[in-house]
Amino acid sequence: MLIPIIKKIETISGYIGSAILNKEGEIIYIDEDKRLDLAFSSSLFNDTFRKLSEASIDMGFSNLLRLETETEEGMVSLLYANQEYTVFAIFDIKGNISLAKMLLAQALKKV
Amino acid sequence: MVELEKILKKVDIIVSQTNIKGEIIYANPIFYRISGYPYGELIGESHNLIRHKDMPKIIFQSLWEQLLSKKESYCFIKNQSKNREFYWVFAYIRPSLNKDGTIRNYISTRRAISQKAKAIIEPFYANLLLLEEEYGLEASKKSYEEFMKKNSYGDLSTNEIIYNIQY
Repeated sequence: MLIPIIKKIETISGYIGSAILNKEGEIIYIDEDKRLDLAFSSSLFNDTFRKLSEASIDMGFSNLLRLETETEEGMVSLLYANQEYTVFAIFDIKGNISLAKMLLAQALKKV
Repeated sequence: MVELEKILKKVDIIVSQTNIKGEIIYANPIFYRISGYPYGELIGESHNLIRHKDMPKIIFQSLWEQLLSKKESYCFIKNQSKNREFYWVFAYIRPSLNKDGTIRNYISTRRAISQKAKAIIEPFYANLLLLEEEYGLEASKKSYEEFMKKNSYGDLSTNEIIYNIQY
């Protein structure tokens, strides 16, 4: 069910790469861009995200729903998650990141 | 004793990161599951921990030559899990560099070996190992180089040859 949304996201300007992981850390989808080594980056970001989510619970809040990072050269990583899946997507900051965020938020709520 | 083989699924992508000393600093959940080590137990360990005795030394020598010259490398590796089962992987290993060009660490992603590749690599490695045991590393190096030359079709790089064997 997430794959059609990812296919839409792949058409958004600034899109670079994406992956979907399940809660076991299995990469169930990867749109690999050889420059990025997405298998590595999506695993590491997902694990970090899950740890931050645990920290959020330890603070008395609930699970994290999303995380956004930006690098000096303008690479934006988006992580959106629910109890089952994490979607990881990388964009150039000049792209339509707002649209990507909207689609990702909607997709994770539906699954 | 008969060893059991673990077959990786398509979603089983093993990811790890080692420091320049070769100690594991990150392992993804799939690595723990496939290798059979409890969560956290791989951190600080050398990758040699999961090396299978059937692996020829020449493969690692060639791999390290590539990595130390700051190049990425593809290779096929037979690993051993904690409970002595074995599993074959198609590995992509690359050095991560600092801005000054020095090596920060090494990153490895490993997937299931294809049946096509396994049919070629398993007997090839067995022969390399035999040569190492009987005649030493130089003999297996010669055989390894001859194999690469034969499969290069003139101008393919070692990585291209290995990639073509997998796919």
